[in-house]
Amino acid sequence: MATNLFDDFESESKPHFEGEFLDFNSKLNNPSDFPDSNLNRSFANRSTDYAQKSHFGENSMFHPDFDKEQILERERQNKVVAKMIPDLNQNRIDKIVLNSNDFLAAYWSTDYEGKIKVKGDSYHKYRSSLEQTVYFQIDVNESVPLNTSIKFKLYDSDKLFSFTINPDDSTFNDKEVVIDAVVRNVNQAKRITLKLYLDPHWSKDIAADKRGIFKNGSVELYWKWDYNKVPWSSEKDVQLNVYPSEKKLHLKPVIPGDYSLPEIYSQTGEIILFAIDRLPSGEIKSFVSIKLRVTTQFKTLEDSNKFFKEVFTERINLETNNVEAAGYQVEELNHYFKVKDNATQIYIEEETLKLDVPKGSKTAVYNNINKTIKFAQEITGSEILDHLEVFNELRNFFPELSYNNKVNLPSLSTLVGVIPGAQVLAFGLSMVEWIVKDQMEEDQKVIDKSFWLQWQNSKKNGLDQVLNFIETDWARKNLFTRVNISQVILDSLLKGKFDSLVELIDAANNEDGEKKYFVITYNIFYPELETFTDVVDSIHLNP
Amino acid sequence: MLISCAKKTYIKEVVENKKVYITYREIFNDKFYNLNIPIQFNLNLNSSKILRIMPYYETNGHQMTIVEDYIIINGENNKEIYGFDTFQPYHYPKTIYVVERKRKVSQNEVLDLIKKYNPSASIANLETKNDTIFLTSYSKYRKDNPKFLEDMRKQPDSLILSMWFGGEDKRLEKVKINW
Repeated sequence: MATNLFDDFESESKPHFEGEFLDFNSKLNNPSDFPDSNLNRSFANRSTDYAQKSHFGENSMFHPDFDKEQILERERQNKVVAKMIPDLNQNRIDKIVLNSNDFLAAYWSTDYEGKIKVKGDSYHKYRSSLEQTVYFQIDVNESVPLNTSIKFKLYDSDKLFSFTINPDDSTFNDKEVVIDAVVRNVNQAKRITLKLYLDPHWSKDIAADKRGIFKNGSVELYWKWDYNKVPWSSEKDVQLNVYPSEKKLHLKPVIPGDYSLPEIYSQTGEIILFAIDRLPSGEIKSFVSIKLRVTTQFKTLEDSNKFFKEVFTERINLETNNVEAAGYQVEELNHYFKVKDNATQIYIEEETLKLDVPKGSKTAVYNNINKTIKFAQEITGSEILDHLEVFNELRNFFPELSYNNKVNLPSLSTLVGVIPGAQVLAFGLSMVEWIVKDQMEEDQKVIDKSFWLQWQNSKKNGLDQVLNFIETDWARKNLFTRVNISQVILDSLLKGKFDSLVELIDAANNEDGEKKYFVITYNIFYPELETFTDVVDSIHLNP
Repeated sequence: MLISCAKKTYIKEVVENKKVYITYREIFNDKFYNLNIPIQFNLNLNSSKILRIMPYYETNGHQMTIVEDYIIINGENNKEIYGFDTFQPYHYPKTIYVVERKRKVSQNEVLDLIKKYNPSASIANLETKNDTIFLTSYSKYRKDNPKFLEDMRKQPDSLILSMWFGGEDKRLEKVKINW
C-alpha cells in the first residue's frame, strides 16, 4: 500500500533498476513536466491527467475512480502520512487517511526492550537474516487499554509496484505465523512487543522470491492486525527485509526433532553419545554419556543383517560434578533386514528391525544414530526409503531419560566438561531441526556414489580411515575439512558460538591449549540462494 | 587457434623475493624454532564468479591441517587468512603465501642461519610467537641450499583449491610445488 506513490515507487524501483528508468522525483521537482496539474482545473481533469501521465494508467491512485476526498486530502497535505496507518486493502489508497490513532508508530529491534533498532542498508530501512531473532515494537496510544490482547499475522510483501493485484503471502514454509500479544506498560507508555525468530526454513520462501522477476532474494515482512474493527498493517514503512542466514557453521543434529547430539568418535571409531535429562522446569536432572560401539560394518545388505552394540553409560550429578553411577553392559541386538517385493515400509520392533527393501538393492548404509537406512542404488528423490526414528529404542539406551517420557535437549558431554544448566539450554535450539532436511537432501545426492556409505564406515573404523577419506577428491569437492581444536574451543563450538568455519579456525589458531579433538566439517551448497553452510559432521578424539 | 579450449589456470607457483624467516613456536607440550619458507602462489580467481573456495595443502602426499601445520598469508597485506570465505567473489587475493609451521630447526641451526644471513639479529629476540627474524629471500635461499631442495623434491607437495562455481559446478585445481 502506498503512503506516497512517488516515494514508494522510488524506493521500490531503486534496487531493481540501474539508472533513471522512471524518475518521478525530477518530475515532481520540475512542475513543467506536469503543466496542467494545478488546482485551477477540475478535479476530474487533474486526476485523469495524473493517472495518464503515471506509469499505472487507470490503476493509478490519481484515477478519478478512486476516492476524491482522499486525493484532495493528499494534495492538501502534500506529505508522507503517518508511520503506520490503517490498512483498508480494498480501496488501496486509504493509507493517506488516518481514521484511528490507536497505534502511533512501530519499528523493529534486536532486543526485547527495543533499545537497539534493526539496522538497514541503502535500500531497506530494516534488514536482517534468517536465524536471527527480532522484535516488532509498536507504540500504542493511551486509548487502548493495558493487557488488551491482539492477534498479529505475518505477511510477505510481494509488491514491486504499489498496485500489484496479487495478494501478499501469509505463509512461511507453508505455515502461517500468528502471534497473540498484549499491550504492556513500558516507562508509563503503552507498547506491544512481538518476538519473531526468523526461521531458517523460510529460505524456501526466499528462494521462491529470488526466482521472481525484479526480486532480490529476500522476504519482506510486515504485520496485519485488527483492532476495534479497524484493519491495520505495518507494510512499507516498517517492513523488514530478511535475507538468507549469515550463520555458516552448524552442528549436525543427529536425530530430527528436539534431540541433538553431535557424533563424537574415539580414536578407534567408537561413537560416544551424550545426553542430558532435563526436568520440565528446565532443571537438569542427570547427565548421561553412552559409548556405543558398532562391531559389525555394513558392506552389503547381507552383511548388515546383524550387528552388535556395546553400551556404556555413566551418570553424573551436575550439582556435585561427581560420577554417581557407572555401568557397563553389552547389548546384543539383532536387526534383521528382509527383502520383499513391492516394499514400501521400514519398521523396527523393540529388538528386531524388519525392513522391506526393493529388489535389486545391493548396498545399504545403516546410520546407527539416525536409525535410518538408505540404499546406495536406486536412490532418486521420492524413491528413497525413508526412515523411522526410533526414539523408543534410543530411550532404552538410557532409561533415566524416560522419566518425563521425553528425550531431552541437547547434549553436551564430559568431553566438554560439565557445564551449568543454563548454558546447556542456550545451546542448540536454533541448530537442531532445520538442517536435518537439507542434510537428508544432501545425503540423497551423494549416496548414489556410495561415498556417503564409505564415509559413515570410515568413521567407525577409526582415525586413519577418517583421515584418508577426507583426502579423497570427492571429500575435497564437498569441502570436507579438518580443524584441530582444544577443550575450550570445543566447548564454544558446541554452544554454537562460531558463525563460520573461518571463525572457528581463527579461534583455534589463537588458542594454545592442547588440541585434544578434531572436528570434521563438510559443506552444503544452496544453489538457489548461491549460498552455503558448513556442517560439523563429527568430532574425534585426537591421539 | 585453440584459445577457446585452453584450460584456465587458477593457481601458479612463483619464486620471488619474499624473505625466509625464523619464528619461535610454543604449542602444547612443545617449543621449537620454525623455519618459515613462504611459497608464493599467484591466483587468478577473479575473472569468473566463484562462490566458494577451500584451500588444501599436502606435504609428502598427506593433507595438512590449516593453522596446525601451515598457514596462508594474504600477499596483498601480509595478514594470515583462515580461508577464502571472508572475500566476496571477484575480490579474492591475487597472491598468497603458504608457510609450513612444523619445519623445526635446532638452536644451533638457527644460530648458523642468523650468522649467515642476518648477523645483527639475536636469537634472544625470539621469545614469543610474534617474534620474527628475517633471513634472506626465498630465491637466494634456494641457491644457497641445494640439499634442502633435493630433500623437498623426494615427495610431492601441493596446493589444492576446491572451487564452487554455483549449481553443480565444483572443481579441484591442484598445483605441485616446484622445489
